Amino acid sequence: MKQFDRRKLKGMVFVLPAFLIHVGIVLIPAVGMVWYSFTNWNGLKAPKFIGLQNYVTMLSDTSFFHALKNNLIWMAMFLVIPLAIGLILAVILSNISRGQMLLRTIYFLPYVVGAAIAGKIFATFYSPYSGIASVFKALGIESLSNFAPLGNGKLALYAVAFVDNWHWWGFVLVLMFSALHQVDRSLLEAATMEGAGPLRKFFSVTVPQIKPTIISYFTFILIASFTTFDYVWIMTQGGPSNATELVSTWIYRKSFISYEVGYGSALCTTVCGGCLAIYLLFTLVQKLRRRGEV
Amino acid sequence: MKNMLRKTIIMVLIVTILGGITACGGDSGNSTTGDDKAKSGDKGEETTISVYWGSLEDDMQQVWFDHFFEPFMEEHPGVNIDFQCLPDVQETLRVQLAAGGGPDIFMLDCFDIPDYVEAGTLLDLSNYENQYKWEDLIYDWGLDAATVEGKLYGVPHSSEATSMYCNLDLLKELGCDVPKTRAEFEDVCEKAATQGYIPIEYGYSGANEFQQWIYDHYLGNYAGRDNIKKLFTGELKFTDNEIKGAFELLKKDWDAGWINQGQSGAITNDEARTFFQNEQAVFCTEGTWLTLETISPGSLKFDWECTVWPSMKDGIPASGSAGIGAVMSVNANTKQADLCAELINYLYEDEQRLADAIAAGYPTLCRDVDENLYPADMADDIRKTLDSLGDILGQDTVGYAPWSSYPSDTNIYMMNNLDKVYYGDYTVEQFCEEAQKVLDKELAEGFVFVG
Repeated sequence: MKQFDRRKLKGMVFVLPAFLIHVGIVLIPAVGMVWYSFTNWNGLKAPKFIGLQNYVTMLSDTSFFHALKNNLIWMAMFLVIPLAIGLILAVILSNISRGQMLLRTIYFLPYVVGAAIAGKIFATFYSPYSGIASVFKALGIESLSNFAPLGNGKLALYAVAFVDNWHWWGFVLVLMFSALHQVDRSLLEAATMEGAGPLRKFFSVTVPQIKPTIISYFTFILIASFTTFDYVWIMTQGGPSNATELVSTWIYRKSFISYEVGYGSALCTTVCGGCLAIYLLFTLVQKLRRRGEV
Repeated sequence: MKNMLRKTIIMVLIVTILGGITACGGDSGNSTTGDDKAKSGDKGEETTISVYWGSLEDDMQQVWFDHFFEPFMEEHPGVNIDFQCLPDVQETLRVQLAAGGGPDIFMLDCFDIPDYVEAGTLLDLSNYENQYKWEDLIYDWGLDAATVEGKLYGVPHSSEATSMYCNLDLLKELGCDVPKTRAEFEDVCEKAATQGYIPIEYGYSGANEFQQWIYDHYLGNYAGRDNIKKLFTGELKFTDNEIKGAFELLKKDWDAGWINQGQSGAITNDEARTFFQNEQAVFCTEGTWLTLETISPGSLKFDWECTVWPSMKDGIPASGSAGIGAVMSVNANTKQADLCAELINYLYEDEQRLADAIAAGYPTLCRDVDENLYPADMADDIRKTLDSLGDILGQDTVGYAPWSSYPSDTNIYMMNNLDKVYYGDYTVEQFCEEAQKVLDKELAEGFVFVG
């Protein structure tokens, strides 16, 4: 018992510095944010308590709901596209012996490019005068010579999401590649002997065995999509005409450009609460499925 | 086992303490003290004045040092100036000032001054105004922009004017003169567009603040300065035709493809400027700062003119707007108020020193400078632009630059929502109604238009 307490204490001591840092940098500011959400504060003068006024204002903030809609679209894109590309390529790469490491490195390279650099480069690619449009024009493809997605309200969000996808899917490839190593080869061999084709083996043997990795990926995307900020801010700052406005950019705009820090805190608190609710719901569904009750 | 536990605890404590010591931050921006030997505040008897400014190129920072800070330090032994140029200076300032810290002198925008005054973070400079007789030296409209309830809380740092740059060679090719009226302007734009040129270069992607230039041109030259004053004193509304018409005209020109062929939202200001520099655009929307500070002298390799935007309505004269680029304010908690005021005055007092600095690319301050004091070898572009600046600011009808005079929230609303009109998400009526709501709130909160 004494030995167990000693081991527990040793473990706590190792965890303590990180825990203290977490409390100081994450928990205390988070609690502070909830408090400020009930105030009218511009970041300078003393905050004034106004109760639920910020939350009432939020209910009629059409720009916030527009940003929320954009975020849901963003989330849907990132739940599907990088996973599909990463998984398919991981399966292909796992069957290649020669040049596999080189290919993995090449596909992973976009992930190490900083968001500011990639964002600026792609903003230039998207320029209607000096980007891909000018290439199409030079090739005589007139229908695409006006290709300027960052100036088009219908395309801008997808154009920015493409860049973030380009940055991200290499990481997903490496993640899925590692997950594929957990697949029991004997099951695949057995499936082959039973006459299963590649697609059947993939969906019936491979996917169930890498399900924990896929679930973790979904959970991460559900939450991370609401913190997406960098590419949107660098490339469009939420424009044109709020077409690429996300919840994070709207919060930033309200807090640090309009200096409505109290209102920004209310938006942030609401989004955090929503993410927590989604995560808990997702976890509950997983638990129930494991118990076989769903 | 006991020894193992003790050693573990000691090691963890050592690592935590070392981590805490080494985690102390350094500079967050470019920091120059003019001389590597002069460190800020770390030699017991030396006094350091810290100055925070917005992002400046290295060569421009050197101009500040060569013409002002180094001579000041030479005349004041024991005084160091710690000059930091920060890309997000306003965010940094708010955090530091709210915590009771912050630099001694810092850059502010005019429309932020009331907030900082209300928070008690700015030093009242009224006594220094009397001591140094700034009212005789500095333009009164510049001092007014930094005055709140009769007290001076900052000294205007730079004066500038909104303007229109014209490519005279292209205008000649189109068979046109520099337009002064709406009809002449439409004629040029139509001809330019037909010939494949961009009538008006303009890009704002990733920087909504540049929207201020375009709506200043249209609002100022359609509504006129008197109606703008009436708007911001509550006598007129955004939805009144005198004001709304300006935005309708802007939308009309946008739909006609005259404003960078409707691609302004897809390109940055830098890219748009290259169209003017490469003679693909007839008009440039930037103000006098373009050739005074932004681009190097000699960059425009064609015949050009810096003049006022044309009149957009009969009876409203063609005019530019006067603006303050930035204000120098002093921290209310500074321990060297006298020295800070002396440094600010030093920037203004010597006309010859200022003339030399301006010739090197320093911003024009809010005071007159005898043109005979400029060096004989000053770049022609700078001399030409200074003449234009003087002409624009000297007009009786000079207007109000948005970043210096408009109410803050209303200005921010317009910057961030005008493109909804461009792209058809808002009608002009909707835009004006929403802008009026924001303005009504600011007027109710006590906004006073200084104009």
